Amino acid sequence: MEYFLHILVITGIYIILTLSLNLVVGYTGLASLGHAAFSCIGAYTSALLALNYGVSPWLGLIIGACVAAVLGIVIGAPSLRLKGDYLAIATFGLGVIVYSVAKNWVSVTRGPMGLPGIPGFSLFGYQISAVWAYLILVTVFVVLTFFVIRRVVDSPFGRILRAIREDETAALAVGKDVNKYKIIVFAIGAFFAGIAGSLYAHYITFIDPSSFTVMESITILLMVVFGGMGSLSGSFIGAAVLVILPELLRFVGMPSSVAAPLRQMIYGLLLVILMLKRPQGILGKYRWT
Amino acid sequence: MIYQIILNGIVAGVIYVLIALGFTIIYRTVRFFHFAHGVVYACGAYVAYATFAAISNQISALSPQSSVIWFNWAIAVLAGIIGAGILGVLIDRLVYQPLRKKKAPNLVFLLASFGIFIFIQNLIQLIFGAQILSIRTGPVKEGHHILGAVITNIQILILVVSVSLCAALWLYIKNAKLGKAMRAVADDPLAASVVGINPEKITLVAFAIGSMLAGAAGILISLETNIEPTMGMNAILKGIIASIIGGIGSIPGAMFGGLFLGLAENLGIWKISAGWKDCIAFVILIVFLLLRPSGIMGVKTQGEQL
Amino acid sequence: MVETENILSVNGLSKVFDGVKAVDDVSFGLKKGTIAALIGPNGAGKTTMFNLITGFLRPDRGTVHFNGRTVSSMSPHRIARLGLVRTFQNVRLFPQMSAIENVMLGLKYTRGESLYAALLKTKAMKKENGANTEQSLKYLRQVGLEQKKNELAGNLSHGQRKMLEMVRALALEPEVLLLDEPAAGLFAEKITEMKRVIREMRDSGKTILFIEHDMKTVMDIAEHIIVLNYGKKIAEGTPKQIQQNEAVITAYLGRRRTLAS
Repeated sequence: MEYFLHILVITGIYIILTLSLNLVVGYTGLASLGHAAFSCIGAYTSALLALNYGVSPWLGLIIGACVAAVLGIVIGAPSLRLKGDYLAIATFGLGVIVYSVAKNWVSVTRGPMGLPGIPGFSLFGYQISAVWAYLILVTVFVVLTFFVIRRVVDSPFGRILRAIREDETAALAVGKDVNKYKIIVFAIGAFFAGIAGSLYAHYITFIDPSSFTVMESITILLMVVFGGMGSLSGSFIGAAVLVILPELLRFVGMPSSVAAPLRQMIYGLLLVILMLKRPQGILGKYRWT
Repeated sequence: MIYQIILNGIVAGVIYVLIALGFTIIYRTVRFFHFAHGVVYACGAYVAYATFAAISNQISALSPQSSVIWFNWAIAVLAGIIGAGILGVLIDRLVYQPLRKKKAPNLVFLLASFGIFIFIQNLIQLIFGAQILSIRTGPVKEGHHILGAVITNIQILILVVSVSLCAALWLYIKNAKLGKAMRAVADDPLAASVVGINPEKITLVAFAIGSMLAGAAGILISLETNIEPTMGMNAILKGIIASIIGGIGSIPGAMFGGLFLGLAENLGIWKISAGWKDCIAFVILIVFLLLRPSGIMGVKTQGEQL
Repeated sequence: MVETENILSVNGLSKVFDGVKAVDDVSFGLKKGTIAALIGPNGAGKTTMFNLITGFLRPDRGTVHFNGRTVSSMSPHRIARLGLVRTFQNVRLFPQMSAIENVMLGLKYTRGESLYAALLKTKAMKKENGANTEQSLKYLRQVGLEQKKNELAGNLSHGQRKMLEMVRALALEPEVLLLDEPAAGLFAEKITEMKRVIREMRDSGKTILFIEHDMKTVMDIAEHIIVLNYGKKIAEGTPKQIQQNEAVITAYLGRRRTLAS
């Protein structure tokens, strides 16, 4: 039972990641391939603040998310002017750089050894340690993320994002400062990814660079694509399916040396098949022409 | 010491050149980042390894003479290169061509390419395991000393083969009928089709040649270092970075970019710890993307057709 | 050229692509409230001119002045906001968004489009949204597209799309409107309607510069014509002057017929 709840917590964290990436990739059409970098920033900032300075995880969460957002703006400002393929490689590169820093800046991050013993959240002086409590916590954040992003998307601001996705040149021609909108959206995506990272850090109480690899970024992207780019409810499905499916593989009783690559193979194949047959994903409505 | 660094840089550089060349030849016809090129590179190495292992088992029963080992080698290398070529062409025909027919946007091609990459890389891991493998045969020979640097036979081999391949490619593109046709399609696909060049056929040739180059690079590197299933990721990223440095779509640019990157990386880790090597490459990438996206030799594009 | 009289003036504008002079030292000025046409054979550099004027391309040499300001180095969205607006040869609408959404994107207000407004759905914002919907409907009504307000722009007929793009440009409340082939692909009645709309715009004080290949339309409504060929300006004047201009006649494939036919 507890295992099942744990899976739900992880799913919740991935839903936040998927929703935030969907805003950037699905709604605005930006090829962002380094999303895990932002959750990495959020996780490490929050964890280090808690471990080294005794900062409450609640505060650490906010700070971590803000740091991630700032990074999003700093990186976004110059990069988002690049065309599709180049932006993809640049954001990919961002993912590699952040991962490298996490792995090599051993004096701060302890490199591959990671940060153990991260304190969990506490409420009114009581340490939260039960899984079901974290499930409630994560659900609250999922709902919060969903509502914020939905507000953004259903507004005149969101309309401009869709316009940018459809035709950037036309958006410029009607007087929209396309670059500014791209940067803002990128920062929002980074902010929520940072929140997801922090939640992960304080829940698992241990983080190391291996949770924030480039493959992680691609997995989150796959969740967005599978659920449907530009469909928020699709993101729930995408995250859920891609978290739960590999867990089912575990029950089939395969050794991990087989299960691990097999799971990735399924992801890869899924991505290819989706692109060939149904690029708009399960619930997506936007026709990628 | 500096000569050793430069030598290491050049050896690394020519490998990057081969990867970047293959990538560029393909890019010139398809106009998107064929990320899966990285697993084609890995495939070359692994097919060579598997062939070598398979043949060695059979032959060693018959006679353990060194001349036979060279023969095994040749077959394995050939198999690796051809295997890589076949994989590259399959990827194009099975995935990219249908997408071309649908006139899919670049993002879809990119994602499909990523998907292929992940699939094949993990397939390799499934078959061969995640551990590193070695194609080396016999003890590590001591290298030759020149100018205070040490160069091993293998490194000499890598340099000779790479330069030969580059020269051969250059001559082919410049003079051979298909080579010229490839340039035409790269320049102006519509005009090329008007004069009777079939762009699909050219694309196939580009994938064949480009993928074989990648396979060759993979085999060469496997002589120098060990191979592991994730080798393709690093390779393609470096290849793309080298291409961007030299100017995307430019063949001399790919050559320049590869050498530049190899040297820059090795000079860089001379001063900072080796773990940051990949970081160096990406920082260079970001710098180029922001300051001169057309690269050193790239032509500044017209800007969007409005 | 007396700068203060011209609402739009272009001075020595040049642009080179890969060694080819797409636009070669072109200068002209437009007085406020005129309808002007930019004509020339295919490839003469007309659309490039539009791109240069509206900031989609940076000129290699020369300047563009609009309403007394130098706009040659401004970004395209700023130029559009200042009131110098253009349409596209290939009609750039937002195809998977509805007609009314397309127009709403053209409206001049920005306060409601901020992130702040999105997150805090204040009453004021809601009210503004309602006003904007009303305003957009008015624009649609102007070109008879009110019934199609929820139709996806990509599903409209060619003529409807041209009108929609036009009216979206109007929503920006421009002072100068650059129309790239407004009559292209339109049937006779639609062309008449287009000409009517253009005249109405001029009557309300706007200045129009349009690119056109349909000489009938050009001669019919243009008061001032600028002719380009191979990137150079080869003639400028009233329709009558242009019709009799040797260089212009030769440029159009050396036809001996006059350009009025």
